[in-house]
Amino acid sequence: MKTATPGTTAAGRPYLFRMLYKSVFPSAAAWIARRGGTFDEAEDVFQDALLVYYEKAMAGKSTAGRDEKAYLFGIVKHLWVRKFRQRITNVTFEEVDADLPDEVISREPAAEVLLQHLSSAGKKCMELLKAFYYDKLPARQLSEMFGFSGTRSVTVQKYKCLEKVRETVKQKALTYEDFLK
Amino acid sequence: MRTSLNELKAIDDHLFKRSSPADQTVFQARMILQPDLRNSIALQKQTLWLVEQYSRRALKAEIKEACDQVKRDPCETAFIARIRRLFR
Repeated sequence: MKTATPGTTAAGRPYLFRMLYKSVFPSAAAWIARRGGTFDEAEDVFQDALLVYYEKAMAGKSTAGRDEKAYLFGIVKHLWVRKFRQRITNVTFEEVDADLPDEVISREPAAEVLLQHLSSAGKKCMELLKAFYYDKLPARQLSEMFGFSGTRSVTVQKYKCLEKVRETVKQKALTYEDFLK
Repeated sequence: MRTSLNELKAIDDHLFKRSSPADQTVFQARMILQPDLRNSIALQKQTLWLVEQYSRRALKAEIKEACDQVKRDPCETAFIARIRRLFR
């Protein structure tokens, strides 16, 4: 099975996700259906699991010595247990991997409002910060992508963007506890 | 870079453990002496968490689109129907 390696490009990701959907979703859906879930819930949890799987693969944490299909399925089970704990009947904790984030995508209202604002008012900055901190793209590539004159400009612009977003967060007067729960 | 940006870089280096041991020691001493620095670190953590959330939403949208492509593919009609039957 093809795995998400750090060399996987943005252009190669859709193929990887389609391939994993076709190979792992049927068994994950069957497992969730047996526990009373709906198709839409199964798909949502599976897509979150793909996200976690991809993050771990990019961080070099998932693949060594593991069966990729079983690993992704393990993440699905784990996320399902967390999301729909009240419905869980026959899952033992041995079946799931504990080393996963508590919450893949936060629905905290304060964060929702701020993200909506930043997605429109500060989109270019958010895209640059995403490319640097999340995608971990090298400065040279960022320079080409965002049209900067060189890697030094990338660094300066990155901190200017960080400052701008920080200021927005501060102005919104949100406390740290508001959305870092 | 101007002073305020250098301060953000120092916090960034501290959070991602990119500083030398000597710089870490100086930074930790500053954290004791400058209470505002702790607030500034908290604000930067919060900002980076938002960047992570923004990025995850973008990746989730990409994943959803890839899954939807499979569902829209006429060649996969039987595959999707087989999965949907599991939920009846």
